[in-house]
Amino acid sequence: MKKAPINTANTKEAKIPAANKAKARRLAALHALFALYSAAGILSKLAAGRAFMSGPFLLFYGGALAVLFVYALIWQQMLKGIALSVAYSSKAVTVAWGLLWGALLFKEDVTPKKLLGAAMAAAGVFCVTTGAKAARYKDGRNSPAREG
Amino acid sequence: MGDIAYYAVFCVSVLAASVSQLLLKQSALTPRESLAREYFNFRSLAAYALFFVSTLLTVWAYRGVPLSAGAMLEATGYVYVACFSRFVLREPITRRSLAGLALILLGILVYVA
Repeated sequence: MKKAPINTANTKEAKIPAANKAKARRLAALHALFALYSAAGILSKLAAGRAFMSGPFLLFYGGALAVLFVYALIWQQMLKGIALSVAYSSKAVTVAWGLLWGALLFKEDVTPKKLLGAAMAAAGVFCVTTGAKAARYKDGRNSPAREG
Repeated sequence: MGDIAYYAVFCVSVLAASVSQLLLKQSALTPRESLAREYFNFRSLAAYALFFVSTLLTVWAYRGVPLSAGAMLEATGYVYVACFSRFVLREPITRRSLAGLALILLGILVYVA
């Protein structure tokens, strides 16, 4: 008896959008985490404007430490589902968060020169983090498949 | 460009955080007999203490460093970590990474100059 042919093409096609969706969700979560991380900068900056060890100082500084602690916990969990190189290179976005919060909350001026410098630094972070990935492959200790 | 001392202290705070990371990494590479030992050993405790000092230095530096510059100065951490990887852990470094490090430093120069 002839077996009914299994349509592998269809099942594969069905799997790809689901995988992409999960990937997009993880990336969105990663960027939400970086937004949270930028709050630590805001709180540190707020603490800097207060008298050392005063009530408001302790509130803002304690808040910054709490944000960093929560960030570290979530970051470690997030690395399970996202390639290290992707996670690290995406961190370049925190430079943009700093510019945004600085301008919005602390009235820092954003000049074309500052934007250029920030863009260069962010591009630099991207190159360093993706360059490290290339070094690991060359080393033969990791294969691209494991980074998936 | 503000007071250069605040910028310097910010860079020192990032350096302290980077050394803290290196200590944690070295500690993680050493096999321990218990979970408690993984946290309560000289390197781990020194790493946490150093990280705490780093956050205090950051707050002090923010008195003179704009928030927008702080986020960029944090990128100097990659320069320190690359130096540790290359010279302490003896890991290879790619040209792409070197170019990235140069871009980070140049970007900071363009920003503050």
